[in-house]
Amino acid sequence: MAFYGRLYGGVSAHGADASRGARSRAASWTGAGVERAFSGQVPLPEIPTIVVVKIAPIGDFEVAVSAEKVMLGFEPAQAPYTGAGEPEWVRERRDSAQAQLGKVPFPRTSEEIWRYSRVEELEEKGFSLGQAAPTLEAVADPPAGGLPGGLVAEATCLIRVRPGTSRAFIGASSPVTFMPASQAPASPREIEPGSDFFRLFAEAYSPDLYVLRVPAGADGGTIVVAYEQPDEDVSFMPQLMVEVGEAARLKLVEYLAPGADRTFIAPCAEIRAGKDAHVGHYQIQALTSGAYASAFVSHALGERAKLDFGSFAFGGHYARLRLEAHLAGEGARAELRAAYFADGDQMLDFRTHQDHHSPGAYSNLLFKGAVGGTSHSVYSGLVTIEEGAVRSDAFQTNRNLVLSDGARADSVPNLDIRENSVRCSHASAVGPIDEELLFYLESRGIDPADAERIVVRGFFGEVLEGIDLPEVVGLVQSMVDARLGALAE
Amino acid sequence: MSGSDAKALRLEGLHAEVVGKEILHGVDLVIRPGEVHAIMGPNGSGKTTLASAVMGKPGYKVTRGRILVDGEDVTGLPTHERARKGLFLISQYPAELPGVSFVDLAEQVLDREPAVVGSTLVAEAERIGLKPELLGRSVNVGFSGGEKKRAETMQLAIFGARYAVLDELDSGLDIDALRDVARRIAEMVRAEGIGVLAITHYSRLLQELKPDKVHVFAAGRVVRSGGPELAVELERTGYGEGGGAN
Ligand SMILES: Nc1ncnc2c1ncn2[C@@H]1O[C@H](COP(=O)(O)OP(=O)(O)O)[C@@H](O)[C@H]1O
Ligand SMILES: [Mg+2]
Repeated sequence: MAFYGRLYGGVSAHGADASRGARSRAASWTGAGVERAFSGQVPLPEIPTIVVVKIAPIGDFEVAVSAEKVMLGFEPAQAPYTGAGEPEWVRERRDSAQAQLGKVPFPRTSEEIWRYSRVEELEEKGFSLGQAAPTLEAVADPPAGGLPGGLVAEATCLIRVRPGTSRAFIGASSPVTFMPASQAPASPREIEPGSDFFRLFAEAYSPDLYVLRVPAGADGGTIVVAYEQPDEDVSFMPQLMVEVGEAARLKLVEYLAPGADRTFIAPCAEIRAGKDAHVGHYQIQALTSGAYASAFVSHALGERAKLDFGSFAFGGHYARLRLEAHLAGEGARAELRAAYFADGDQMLDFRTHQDHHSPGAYSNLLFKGAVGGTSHSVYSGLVTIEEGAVRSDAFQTNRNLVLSDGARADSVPNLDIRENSVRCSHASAVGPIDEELLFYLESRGIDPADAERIVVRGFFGEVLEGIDLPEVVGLVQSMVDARLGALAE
Repeated sequence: MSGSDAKALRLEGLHAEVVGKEILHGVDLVIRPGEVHAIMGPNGSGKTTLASAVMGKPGYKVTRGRILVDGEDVTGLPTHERARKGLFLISQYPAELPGVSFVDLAEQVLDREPAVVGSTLVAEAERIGLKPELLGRSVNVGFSGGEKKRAETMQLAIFGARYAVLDELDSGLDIDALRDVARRIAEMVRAEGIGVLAITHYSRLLQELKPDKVHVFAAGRVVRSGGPELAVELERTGYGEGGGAN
């Protein structure tokens, strides 16, 4: 099977840096080389690396542009939302984001972190900005219509967010509060927002900012938040600030509903988990095939806080996720997973950062993807172990199946370790389905198409292990099956 | 010729090549239901190539000759159709299937209700000495050599095979596991009349499996055939003397 794919390790996303040569150990493999490496009993190559390197933090840009330039992709003639009547803390948040935006240009594919993105198409198309201040309607029954039944069944609270409005069903005994930021008490920030353009843009100009709180010691149950954009040509940048108090519990499921085909959605979820809190957070991306998306997810974990995060991405013409896990407290733990499956001419783009700043923290990332048709996926991840973060365990694994000749997957893991006595590794693989596995199944009487389905299902099965929301697991499996069904046609 | 229509796995003048190089130079074998044939031969003589060509593994190309299952020519058929005609291969190093459990696999292969599949699997696992808790785990992933061969034998027993090709069933497993799987296969030969082609280096497997015929394989062909006593002789004298001359 011929295919196009690349596998390499240690390629920096940040321009020239003399120290980088030392860690470019994995070769760039193409064509037959990769195929050989993945056939037979040969295991997927691990790239065990414990290398000390220094590279610039993500997004250290020096280019400054005017605020007008920033608006280019978004109908420059239109005045942005001003947030009149918002409380001081929200005002400050907007002001600081606007100030930062002045230093961050509209993304260009000439920048490594936007290299394969379709931001230029996005800019050409032009999406108008939401203007309406968000309103919240509390409802007595789950507003279920049109959502996957499994998610509704799983939810103890169900919230549907559209531009300018939200409808929230909060279960009678739920300790959780949900409200537009304009009504919420100040929600302090521990982690600076960084320099992701769309995140800053949303912070500065999006009306749709909500706060979700689980008080200390409480069990927040399972909260499903569905984002829906029914209108064409309008951008939607829902922002959800989540505070999970000390020793509190929460399972949060974000569902990016199919919505309008010509749309741009930039959901930002900012989760703060207090000391000893346990958080499960799953984002299911089911956008239609014409949509553009740039999602941002950031977790700040306190002492001994535990996070299980999963991204399940299937839709969109161009869909990006930037994930930042900040292991801020001693002994914090994060499992970070993703299953993504692209088809047609989709482009799915993942940028991750596991940032260890405290001793004894653990993070384990497993991202698995498949690409069919002429689709393309990119995984680019960085692990940083800051000085002082001794006894850190950080692992990063990305594996990709290339299912057709025209499809392509790129995988770029990076480590930046500034401390001794840590355990870190990264591994990445890009290749076709292992012929040995197909032969095994076929030699049991299973026809080739079913054999391929079974192998791909099994491939994603590993990502879904240990998620204790069966309905979410079932939904993701059915989305994988739907993709496989579409490929078979 | 009462020949090629009779019930048997029949290889007729089989030539096969791997990456453009001919490895099998004309193999003739007839394995009837209820018979056990052993193939013994030095490393590199083409035994695995023979097993792979019979099962239709990609990369192993039959260039001349035929493979017949109960009179039907399967030489041009894809692997899954050969399996459905009753061929079953246990590879020397069985593949591992991440994320696919024996239950998933058996449900796919056996077109029966999940409850029936489950009880069939458990009963056979117990019989072959495979811990039933492994049935929900990914096929062969993290298994010991013995567990793998027990699990393969379990599948042979429940998937309705008529002819089994065993490629070095005895490699990578301990004596207890070897005895258990060999006895189970011998039972299938007796009770269900399956035919077996057992590729091996050692006569230990054959002490349990009791071959009807032993064939010495060298440089891509059968160079000598005899009864079970040939295995004993080979063990004593090695392939050089027993094989080369004929
Ligand atoms: N996949 C392959 N690629 C290249 N050569 C092969 C391959 N499989 C087998 N061969 C060659 O075919 C010959 C027979 O190998 P094999 O059938 O594995 O022998 P045996 O099982 O008797 O040890 C050897 O010379 C081996 O190098
Ligand atoms: Mg061999």
